[in-house]
Order: sequence, then structure tokens, then C-alpha cells
Amino acid sequence: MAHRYDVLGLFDNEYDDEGFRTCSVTGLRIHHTVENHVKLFGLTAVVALLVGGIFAFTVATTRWEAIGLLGPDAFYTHLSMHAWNLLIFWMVFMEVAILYVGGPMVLGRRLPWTKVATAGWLTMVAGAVAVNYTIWTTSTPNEAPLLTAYVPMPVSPWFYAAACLFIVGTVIAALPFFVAMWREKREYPGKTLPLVAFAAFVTSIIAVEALVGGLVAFAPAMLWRLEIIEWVDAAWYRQMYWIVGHGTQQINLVAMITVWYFLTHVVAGAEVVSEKVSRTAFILYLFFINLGAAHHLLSDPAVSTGWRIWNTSYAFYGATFASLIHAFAIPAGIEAGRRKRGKGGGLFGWLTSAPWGNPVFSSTIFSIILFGFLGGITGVMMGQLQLNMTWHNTFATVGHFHATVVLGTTVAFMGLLFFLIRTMFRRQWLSTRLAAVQPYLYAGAMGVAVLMMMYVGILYGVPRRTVEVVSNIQGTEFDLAAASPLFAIFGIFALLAIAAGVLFILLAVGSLLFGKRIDDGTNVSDLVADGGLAMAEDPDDPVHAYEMRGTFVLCLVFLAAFVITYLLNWYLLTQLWSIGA
Amino acid sequence: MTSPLKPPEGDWWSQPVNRRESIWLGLGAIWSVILFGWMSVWTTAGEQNPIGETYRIEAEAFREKMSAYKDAATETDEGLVPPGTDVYIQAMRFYWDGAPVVLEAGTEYDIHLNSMDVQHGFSLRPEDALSKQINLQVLPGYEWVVPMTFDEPGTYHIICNEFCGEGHRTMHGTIVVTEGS
Amino acid sequence: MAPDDTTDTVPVMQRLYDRIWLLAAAALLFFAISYVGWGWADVFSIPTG
Repeated sequence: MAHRYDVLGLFDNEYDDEGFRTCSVTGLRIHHTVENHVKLFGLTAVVALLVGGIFAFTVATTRWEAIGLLGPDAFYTHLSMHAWNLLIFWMVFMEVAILYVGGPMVLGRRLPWTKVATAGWLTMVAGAVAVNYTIWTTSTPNEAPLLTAYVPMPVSPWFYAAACLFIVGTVIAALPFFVAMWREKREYPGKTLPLVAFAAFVTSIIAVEALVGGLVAFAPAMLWRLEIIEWVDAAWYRQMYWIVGHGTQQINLVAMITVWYFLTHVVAGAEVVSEKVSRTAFILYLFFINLGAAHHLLSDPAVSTGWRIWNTSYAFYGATFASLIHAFAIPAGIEAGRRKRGKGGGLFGWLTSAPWGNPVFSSTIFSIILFGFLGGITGVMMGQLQLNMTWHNTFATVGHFHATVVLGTTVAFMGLLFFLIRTMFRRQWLSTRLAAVQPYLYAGAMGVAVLMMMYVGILYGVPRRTVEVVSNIQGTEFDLAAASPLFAIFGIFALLAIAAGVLFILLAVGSLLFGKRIDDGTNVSDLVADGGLAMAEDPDDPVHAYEMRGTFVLCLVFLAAFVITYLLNWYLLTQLWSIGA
Repeated sequence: MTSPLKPPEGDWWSQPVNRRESIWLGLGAIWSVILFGWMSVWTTAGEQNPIGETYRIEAEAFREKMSAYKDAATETDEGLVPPGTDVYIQAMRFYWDGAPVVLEAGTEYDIHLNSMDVQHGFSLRPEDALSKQINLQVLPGYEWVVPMTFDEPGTYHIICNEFCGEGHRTMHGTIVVTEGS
Repeated sequence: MAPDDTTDTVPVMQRLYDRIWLLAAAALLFFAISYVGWGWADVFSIPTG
């Protein structure tokens, strides 16, 4: 039943008379309206990944001043292209797809308001293309916007307009998700949503906050650049901008965790060890996670100390506590689920026996570990009012967010795409061996690059957003050349990571174009958790009765890393001279 | 039901929580309280805080303060010696006005930060210890008064670390800290 | 533990966790006050120097 606009046989799965098919891997009952839209948004996301990835090459080879590819005239434009295509377009197109999966697909519903979904997609694409165009054609007197387009830097008003268009498109695309959830709750008032659907809902509300914040920041900025209003206050703009600036990253976080629960269950047999505890964590996120936008305003004038401390802490570290919950619940789910399936054995047998050769599994696990140890811990460091002074606007900040959105979210989304290529696009991976190895290469290389970014930022004070500052600072003998050796390591491993990213694109696109078609009889045993998914529904074999001691040890190691990093950061701070009232 | 893809049936709230998970939750709660508490206590007990009075000010008005300050200050080869303990530094594309400035170790100065045009980043470190670096945001329309007391003499270098245009990488200034009396 | 379908044995906390629209509204309101409202109060009350 090929879709009217089917291209390359990518939208032509077979459905029954009611428009449904049953997935042989997850057992989900999937309607073609949902599936075709998930595919549409997913494919668009990969295009954005490719474009943003090209600019990763030019940006990395410029910041590695031994190459110093671009000059000040071009660098900031390339940096803006890299940022918008990866941090925003790659992420947000995937996240609309994830909302459709987490909501209507998991619930076995059709996608309501399909014309609205398509209109949303068209608007988002128009916005994304317009943003790319306005950035790429930046010329005097305008400056490249970077991600933040900080008022009162002169940025093209059409950039702000394009960004607003993209945001409005995203809101439109999210509406069918909300309608599906509304109908589900109305039809089954006493029923609890599946955990993944509940998580998707929390993601959507966090997204609403972020998107509205974006409009509140960008629309007045556009009006000011068009000289319709006289002035936009810089401090007010920063406070509003970071609602979308950091809010979009929080969408990335919660969407990623939703994907973690989904994929660890399907490919590794994980189960929910406590619905109550996991849902509490998502509710803490719902209320508190977007307060963290204040992290960007800690070394700022204007906002009060009280506001900064309260908001940066996500209300007494409520959202950090939520992350600590998931840090236990997700591996515990894998451990208990696998012990139940007879895959345990000793402290870590459940982990060593897991399908490490399956890129869906390895991507997910690397995402969990690296997000936690590198991304999450450094986020809390930077989010401490005083430590922020040593991180703010340094290259360490760039290291932090590459740890979260690349090692965390992007690696998880790559795993999800490997999964969708098999289950929705129903193609074999072009090369099972290369697919198996790609997550190791990408996560490993990017991990080293990220560590180098953090070291040069914290230990050498190398700034972010600067085309040349290590080997030479114009007008002075002073330089940061002491950081050059670490920059060499950064440069090499960034290039290796980009190569692994290219490998992903080749595997993804290659599989879609040339991969062998999967029919209903094909063996899917490498994707489905040993013992099948039905074991998760046996009420007489509850998962919480199984051992979680391996997870407990891993979490204690994580907490130790957290504490040690905290002590080191605070020690560095106390070496400074006296600052502040 | 313990599948994340299926609705949990009946009373899932009363399902007991695994003992190790409960211990972990307790540890997490304690750590959260420590994170909040330490940061809060440091604002009164600690020596390094990004805290200072903020005032609204137009660019021209700050220029006037700058002029008056420079008139009263002493010009030397190494830089400006402030008349009192107020130090004025104004960021602009692509220059730190008020730098180089000569200060004394051990004296508390009020550093008045403002930008004449766009947002800039005040990034400061001593030249012989690059890891001792701090960063503050400098905004147009605002005067932020951040007290600082330097304990080590030496030359401290200012770099701009907020993108402000093509000449951004050339924005460099110095604060020369001499031995305290 | 056998599944139990009677709604009056479901704890009130579970029912609260199921009320997703109420939770969403409360969260949006909290954000509006804690981050936006308080922040505006700060920024708009800066004295002139």
C-alpha cells in the first residue's frame, strides 16, 4: 500500500484493511498515518545531520589552529550553520518523529489531523531552509547569528523571521500528538499511559515551554531589526532566549531518555523496575527541568542571586535527582530483565552477555554512559553559581554540550535510526559489520575530542566562539599556545569522529537505497531481546524481585565520579583571587 | 505489567521498590541537598561569587563616567592608575577601554563593567597561571560593579569570549597588578 | 501481584500521576512564575546608575 507520494519505495509497507500492520519486533499495532509521518520526519532529520556534519569539518579544522582552515570572515557563518542544523534541525525533526512514536504508535492509534502534521512538516522545512539561507547570505552590516543571535548584535531580521517560522511549524507538527493523547485519555479515563507514552507527553510539554520562549525572544528582536520597535533589552533577551536555547536541550534530554527506555526494552529485554519511581522522575522533569535555562545567566548582571540559585538548581536540584533516578532505573531495568531471562550471572553477567554487536544496543548504552559521566556531571558543575565563572564562554562549555547532545542524544538517535531502518523502512543494514562497529568509532573518537575541549577550556581558559586565539592573539605577545598539544589531540579525534559520522550517513542512506528488503518471514532474532518481549507482561514474575546489585555498583561508581569532579572543580575555584560582593 | 510499551494494570503505585533502588534514592537526595547547600553557603562564606550591584545606564552616560575617571586617573607607561578603588572598563568593538590599568595586590577594587555596543565576554587570567581564569558577561545598557581583590602580583590578560564581530579575536587588554603596600 | 482492575483500590497518588493535563497546567504555571515572572521582576527593577 504505497503512499501517494512514495519515493524510492520508502513509504510502501503493507497494511490491513483498517490501515494497520503489526510489527514483528515490538508487537506494536502501527497505523500507516503514523508510520509514514515518522519516516518523513526521520528522513528530514538525517538530511539536517548531513548538512550540519559538513560544517563540523570546517569548524573543527578552524578551531584546530594548526590547520586554521577559515578566517574571521567565514568562520562565524560556518559555526552558525553547524549549530542550527545539528542542535536544532537534526534534533527537532527527530523529536517530532519520537512524539509520534511515543504517543499514537505506542498506543496503537492512528495519527489524527494528518493534514496538520504534513502542514507542520512543510512549515518546518520552509523555516529550516530559510534559516540556512539567511545565515549563509550574512553580509555587512549584519553579523552571523551563531545559535544565540544575541541582541543587540546586528543580525538580519529575516533570520529572526525564519527562526520564528521554524518554531511555528514545530508547534503545528506537535498538534496531532496532543490530539492523540487527548483522545486516548478521553476514551480510557481510568487507564495509565505506558511509560514511554507518559515520557513522550512530558517531552511535549517541555517543548511547548521552549518553543513559546523562542517566539517571545525572536519576534521582538525581529521587530527591532525592522525598526518597528526601538530597542530590545539585552538582559531581557538573554533571559527569554535561553528558554528556547536550553529548553531545546532539555527536549533532547527527555526524548533521549524516552528512547533509552524503549530501546533497552526491545533489544536487551529491559523492564520497568518501578513505574512509580520512573514516573516521579519524569514529573520532576516536567516541573523543574526548564528552570535550568538560568545556567546561562549565572555570570551575568541584572538577574538576582536568589533567582539564579533557585532556578539553576532546578528547585533544590529536583531535576538532577530525577536524572539520578533514571541513572539507576535504566540499567536496573536491563539487569533485572536479563536476569529474569536467564542472562544474568555474577555481578555483571547481564551486561557482558548483552548484544554488544547490535548497533542499536551499543549506541544506546554508550549514550547512557557518556551522557551521564561526561555530559550530566559537567552540566551540574557549570550550573553551580560560582563554578560557572570558570566555565562560562570557554571551550569547556562546548565540550559539555558535545557530551550531552552528541555523545548522549545524537548517539541514541543514531541507534534509533538503525532500528527504524530495519523495522519501519524494512531494509537490512548495508553492512552488518560496519553497522556494528560504527557506534564504537563514533562514541570513542567523539569522547576523546570532548575531553580535550573540556581540558583546554578549564585548564587553559581557551574561549569558545573565537576563530583564532591559541597560537596568536593579535596585538599582543600573550597567547594560549600552551594548549596546542591538547588541541592537536582534539583535532585528530574530532576528524575521526566526523569520519565515523560520515560512516553513519553512508550506512543509513545506503541501507535505505540499496539495503535488502525485509519481508514478514525474515529472521529478526538479532533485534528482539532473548526470551521475547512477552516476558515483561507476566504478573507472577515481577521484575522488581530480581537482583539489581550490578547496577548499584555502577551507580556508586558514577556517584564517586560526580563527587570527585565536584571537589576538583571547587578546588580550582578556591585558587582564584577574591571576586564578588 | 513491567513493559514500558504497555499500560501498567491495576495498582502499580503500591508495588514495592527494590531495596537497592531505595538506598540509591536516599544517596541521590543527600547529594542534591549538598549541591544546593554548598552553592548557597558559598555566597556568604566564600571568596568567589559572580555577584555585584547592577545599574541601568545609557552608553553615553557611561562614557561620561569613563571620561571623568580617566581625567582623575594617572597615566603611566604600564597603564592607568585609578584615582581611588573604582575601576572602569568598557568593552566595545574591538577594544577594552580603561585597559591597561595598574592595580595593587591586596586592595579591594570595584570593577565597573559595561559595553558600549554589543554583548562581550570579560575573560581574565594571570599570564603565568592560565588555569586561574574567570569569565563574566558584559552587557550594553547595564553597569555591573563586581568587587575584586587580587592576591598575586603579575600581568592579567583580558580576552573577549563572546562573539562580537569580525574583530572579536583581537580584543585584548591587561590588568597589571603590582605588589601591595 | 495479580492485576487489580477496581478503580477505588487505586491510590490517590496514582490517580494524580494519571492526570496528565492537570500536571501539565501546573508545571507551565510553575515555570511562568519561577523562571519568567521572578526574572522579569529582577530585570525590570534594576535602578538607574
